[in-house]
Amino acid sequence: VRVTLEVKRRTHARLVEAVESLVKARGFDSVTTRDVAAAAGVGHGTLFNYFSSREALGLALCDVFLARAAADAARTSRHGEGPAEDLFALGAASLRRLRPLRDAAGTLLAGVLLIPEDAGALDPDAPPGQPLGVRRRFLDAVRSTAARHRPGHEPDAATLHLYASLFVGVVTSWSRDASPHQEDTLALLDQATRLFAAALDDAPDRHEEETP
Amino acid sequence: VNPAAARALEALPQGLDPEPTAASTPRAALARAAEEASHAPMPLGRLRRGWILGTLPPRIAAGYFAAWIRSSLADDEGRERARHEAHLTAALRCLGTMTYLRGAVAKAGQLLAAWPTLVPDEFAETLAALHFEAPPMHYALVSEVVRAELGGEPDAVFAEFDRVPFAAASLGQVHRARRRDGEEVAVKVQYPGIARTIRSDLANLSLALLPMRFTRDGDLLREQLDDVAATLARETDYEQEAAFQERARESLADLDEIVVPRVHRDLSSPRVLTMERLHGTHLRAFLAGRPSQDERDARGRQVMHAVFRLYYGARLAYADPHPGNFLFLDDGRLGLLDFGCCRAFDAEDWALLELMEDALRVDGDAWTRGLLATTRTEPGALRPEQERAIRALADWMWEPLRHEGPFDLGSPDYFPRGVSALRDVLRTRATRSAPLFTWVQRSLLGVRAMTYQLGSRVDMRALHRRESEGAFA
Repeated sequence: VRVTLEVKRRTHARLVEAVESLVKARGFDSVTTRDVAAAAGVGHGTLFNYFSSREALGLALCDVFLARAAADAARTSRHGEGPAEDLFALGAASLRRLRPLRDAAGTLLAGVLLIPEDAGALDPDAPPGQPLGVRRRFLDAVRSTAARHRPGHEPDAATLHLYASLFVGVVTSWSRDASPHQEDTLALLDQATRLFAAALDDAPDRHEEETP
Repeated sequence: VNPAAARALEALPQGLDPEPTAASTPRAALARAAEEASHAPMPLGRLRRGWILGTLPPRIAAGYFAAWIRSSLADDEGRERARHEAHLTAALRCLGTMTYLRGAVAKAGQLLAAWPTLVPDEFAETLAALHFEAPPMHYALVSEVVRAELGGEPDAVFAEFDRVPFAAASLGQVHRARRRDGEEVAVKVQYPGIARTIRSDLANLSLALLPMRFTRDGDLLREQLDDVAATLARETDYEQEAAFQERARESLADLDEIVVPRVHRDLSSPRVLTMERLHGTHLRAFLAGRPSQDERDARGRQVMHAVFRLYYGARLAYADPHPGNFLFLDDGRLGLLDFGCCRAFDAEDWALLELMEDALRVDGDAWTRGLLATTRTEPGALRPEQERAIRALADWMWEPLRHEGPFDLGSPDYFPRGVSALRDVLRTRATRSAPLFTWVQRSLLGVRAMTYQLGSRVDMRALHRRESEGAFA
């Protein structure tokens, strides 16, 4: 039987929806691939045609959450005073969306966000959940937020990698934050986005460098 | 650097650096301590630390701290002194590593600078420099804090919320807003996590000073620190501040001339404090308007009346009476704004304060009893010149209350005489006191400084008699 692209896309979406509702109901730790397959109405074996592991499923969910966060931030943010504020708003929206995955998000995201991008391996049509796609979409949101205040000054790969590291650090710390309302994470996110904004300001201006 | 601050910096021990050759000046030693601190395994340490001890006010605070501790080491000899200097160095390092955030060191510095071994103009200057140092928050962060504390974003919880703060506050900032019922309010928002950070920093500092408890006055030093820590714990909790504010508001309710903003409990939490908004000017703007002597007198009388009432009526030391906390309302009333730094008196405190007041009023045996109780000393322990210095300072404090009719608090000599009386107390090292008096003295000197700047003539005796009547029943 030939499975059309459209059917594949729909099955993929059903699996992600299933993992989302299961994670929201009982947390990522107690969700198995078998549960997800059953909830999505697909065979357990078939699930692995789409996701290589439970972690890949979790990552796909992170991807969905981060995309919603980027949309939240783009929609609600009356633009802030500077990149630090807008990036903070994006980060805070991300944490809010990632909340059902709070325990696992740090580990899941570290696996993809901290791996330097190999531009040649990029598939622009990669479905949600494909590791490089997660990283690219995440950094796209950061890039466009940063560029809002400095049109024409795209942060370079190294600067973006710095942001990815900071964000993974914040998410990891958040998973263990026992302070009231996780206020320590808010402070850490504030410091991290300020640090990154400072790095943006310090980034050399390529046009000037090229001038003899 | 002003001369007072330079002197404070000179008080930093040379031994702050383990290798004396590497840093021969206090300044270099501190720079090195900051550098060391930046290597500590803390998140974003370098960024935060470099930011902290690199700025002047915290270094001056460290200097004042050193001066304060050293005054308790004065009688030690040789090896003992060296040992205690080593502990002082450790404590200063701890001070240097305190504060993940700039606001924290500013707050701690503010408290350290307010300890009683400092002359008023010095600590007034330092307080001015240290004030309003909480890290600024952009609106996105304010919005997150409000959401966490009040359950919704500012735009959802309030009808209007000004995104730009109009004032800095203790460990946070203040925004103008409007309630859904239309009332104008001021909303204080605290920087997240800062209160807990400061508390743990102070606990660490207290631990570092533990070995010094065997020095002369070491017990008091520890007690002072504990008292500061306890007061700070209250100050960093906006719910506690709200409680002080309500207590003050109730106590001042029958005085038409004085107003304490009403707290909106439904829009307040430990990190967010919403209160009625008042309209008026602060001291500087008031003086710039060239007020008449009558106006100055009226304002000074209001300030003194409020502080007397809080002290005798509400049993509160309004311990941070700097000009930013008094608002001269357009309708002629006086607004009292900030109740973060208050010390409430319990029954034991009150008994001690009664002894002090008797000592000042009655003289003779009462003076001796009060002196021993307030300085926690045994009979004969104070040297004659120490007792004379304390006496002179007490007389200075009491002078306006003995004077019949309006007393000129703004006269060119009155406040400066107090400064020199306090200098003598310091010079003779007669600085032992129960922690309570740190706050009483802070309140008293702050208010006298304020009325000095106002240039007010106030019938202090009548005001005091009326407000203190029956207070020590």
